[in-house]
Amino acid sequence: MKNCVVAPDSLQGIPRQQTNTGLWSGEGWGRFLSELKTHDVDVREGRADRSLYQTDGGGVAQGRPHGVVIARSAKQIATILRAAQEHGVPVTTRGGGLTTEGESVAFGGLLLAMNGMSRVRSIDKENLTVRTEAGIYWHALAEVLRRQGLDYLSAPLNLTASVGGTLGVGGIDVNSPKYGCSADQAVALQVVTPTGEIRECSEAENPDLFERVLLGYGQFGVITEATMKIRPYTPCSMHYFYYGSLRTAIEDLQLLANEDAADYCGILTMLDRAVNLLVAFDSDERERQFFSRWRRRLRGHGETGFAARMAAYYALRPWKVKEALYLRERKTALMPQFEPSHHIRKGKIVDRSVVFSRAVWKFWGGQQMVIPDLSTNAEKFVEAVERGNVVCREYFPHYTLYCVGIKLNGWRERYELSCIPPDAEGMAWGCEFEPMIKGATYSRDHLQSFKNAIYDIGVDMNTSYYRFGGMMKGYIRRAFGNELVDKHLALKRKADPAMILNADVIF
Amino acid sequence: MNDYRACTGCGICVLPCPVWQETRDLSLTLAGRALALQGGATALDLRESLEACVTCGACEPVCPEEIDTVGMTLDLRRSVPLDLPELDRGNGEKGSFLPGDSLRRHRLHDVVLQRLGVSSVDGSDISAGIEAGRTVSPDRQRQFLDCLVGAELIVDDGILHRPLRSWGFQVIGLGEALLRKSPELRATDLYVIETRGYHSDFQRLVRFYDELRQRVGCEMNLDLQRAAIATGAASLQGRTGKGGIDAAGQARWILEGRVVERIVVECVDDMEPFQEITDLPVVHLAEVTP
Repeated sequence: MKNCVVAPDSLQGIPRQQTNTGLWSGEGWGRFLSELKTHDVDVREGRADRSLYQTDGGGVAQGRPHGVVIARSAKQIATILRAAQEHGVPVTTRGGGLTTEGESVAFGGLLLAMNGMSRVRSIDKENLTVRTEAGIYWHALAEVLRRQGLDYLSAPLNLTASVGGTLGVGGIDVNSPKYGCSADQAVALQVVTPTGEIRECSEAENPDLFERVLLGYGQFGVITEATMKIRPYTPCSMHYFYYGSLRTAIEDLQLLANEDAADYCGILTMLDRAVNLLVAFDSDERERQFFSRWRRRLRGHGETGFAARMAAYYALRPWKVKEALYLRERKTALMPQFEPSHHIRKGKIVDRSVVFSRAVWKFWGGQQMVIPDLSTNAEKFVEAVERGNVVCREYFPHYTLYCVGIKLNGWRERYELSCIPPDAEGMAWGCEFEPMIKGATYSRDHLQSFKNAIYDIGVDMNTSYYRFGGMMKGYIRRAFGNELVDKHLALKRKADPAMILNADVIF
Repeated sequence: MNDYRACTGCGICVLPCPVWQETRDLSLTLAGRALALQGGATALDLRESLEACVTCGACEPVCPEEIDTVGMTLDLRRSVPLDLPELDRGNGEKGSFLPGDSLRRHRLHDVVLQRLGVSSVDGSDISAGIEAGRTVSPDRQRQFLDCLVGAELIVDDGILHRPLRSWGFQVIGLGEALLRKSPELRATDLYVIETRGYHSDFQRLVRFYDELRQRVGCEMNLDLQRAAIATGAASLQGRTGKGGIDAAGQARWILEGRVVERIVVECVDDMEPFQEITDLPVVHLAEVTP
């Protein structure tokens, strides 16, 4: 860890306080409000409006804005940001509010509720793109696209993440091995810069801004509209293969993803010894190809074969009866939720993302959520997951690991300070470590210590961590080193002189 | 079921919400109310939100935390009732069919009675009272319940499904009752489900209507979560023309991207919004039921 200014012993974990931002003093708020009123910007300061945004998906960070504005147009946001620069008022943007480290929680200042801008502007069926306001939920976008027989390429399992928020941090799904992260589906963006200029950007137009804003953690502008790649909608056929070994399942996942043997593949674990490899297909032809060419190379079992093996395993280990009962209960409760009859047509699942999203919230959601994650190159992935698994076991009785590949189309500038590890080529690999904490009570420090322990693995293995909200401010210099962080900090200072836009999220 | 404290802010309930669809303002949705309450807001702070809700109930079956969303909203309204006129008491006639206030006054009322071979009970004041958050006197409630006869009630007014079940009655909607009579439906129809009754018995009815959709091949006013999209016209605000949402705008959203030749509705209140935005024939289910 050369270039790291912190003491070596601090690598074992940082106190939670280091990641908490201070409450903004409120100096300049009155002048800011007065200016916005002259521009007819409706700032809400009532108790109900302020309190409904007081935490995020993580449920750990708690803070309130001085006021809330429902985003309605790029022009309105430009007015707000110009005034915020002048009066030094922090502006926190919030889409679905599904961050887990308080990134979309305002600790004073103004909260900009981006989901006020969530209309689809136009659909280009010929070129397969959609132009949408960026505060739209992925689900709402899917709803509009489905009426036209279309679908987005890839989006987070949490469908109430916003498009704009996702583009700022990554976004992965079980089809990320095929399509890459959600941020890489953006063709063009409309951005309001921190100083209040409305700019269109793409790889051809203002490419520097485009690369800064994508995977930019909301630091370099507010994404107000996005043009995204889309595709024809297809129901998909799904298959599950079961493994007793995490390592074997990961190796098979990597085989499938590298060989493009499936349209969707990912791992969800129930227990260390009950690992589920999901494989799915958009067409009958792809499904047939898989079964003729790849199935026999997989070491996973079908449901019946695996159930027989597990029965034999637990019969010889009666002291593990509780574990066996948990597994059975989990299987019984979970699987029907993933295959409700009203979403099945001719053996295929219709609107998979809706089914998954609700099931994810039902079984993994809660008042508090901690989902630290690691992202590595292919070679480091098994070790990172196995080490993370040991940490999970130390902290929680039950947890799930969610592993996917993330296709990379060459190296892009946007990856530089992001979830994509610098040494990944062709495919990055990500694992979310998701403790099942529903119904249980853990202290904030316990949850923070767990996250630190996972992120310490990333630092130790010189890799990254990914997805939305995963970037802990306290870790960024450890993960990326001073030189790179200082480079981006200088860019941020230049773009946002008063440092008002999503302050304290990563810098 | 759980109360507002169980809300995780996942936002899934927001997606089928017609108020959200129109306003894109989280504070006017169920999630907004639940999160604000968690943050210390009171019913009084939520007046605008409570007035906006059309109680279509779409938020309830999709909620992963199984929150009693409709009950929560109606409970809060008891602290800040909707400022809408009370309706006249029912006439005391007995029967097993409860038409909504609009159907009771509509030319199709007699058609429905004829098709189903039932007589109707007027519970409009009870329904309006519940929806507005007003207290229904025990005497009036007793008088109303005494008018209900038969093993199974056919209830057009979806807001009454839950309370009637809680009072021990077996309840089905008007749509389900008429569908038993084999109406003439076509694959080119848009079939508009009455939302309140549907969402109040979602686990059963989602399969019932899914089977119908597969059998007929028609479109329905369902979203990707299989929640029914409401026009809001049947809400108390919609019927009285005081507040509520733009029903025609909702009808436009339901129709968007759907290629259909006829619109068949279960609830008479839903006829006008569709008639306002399209030249397609809009008929009530009773009109295509033999």
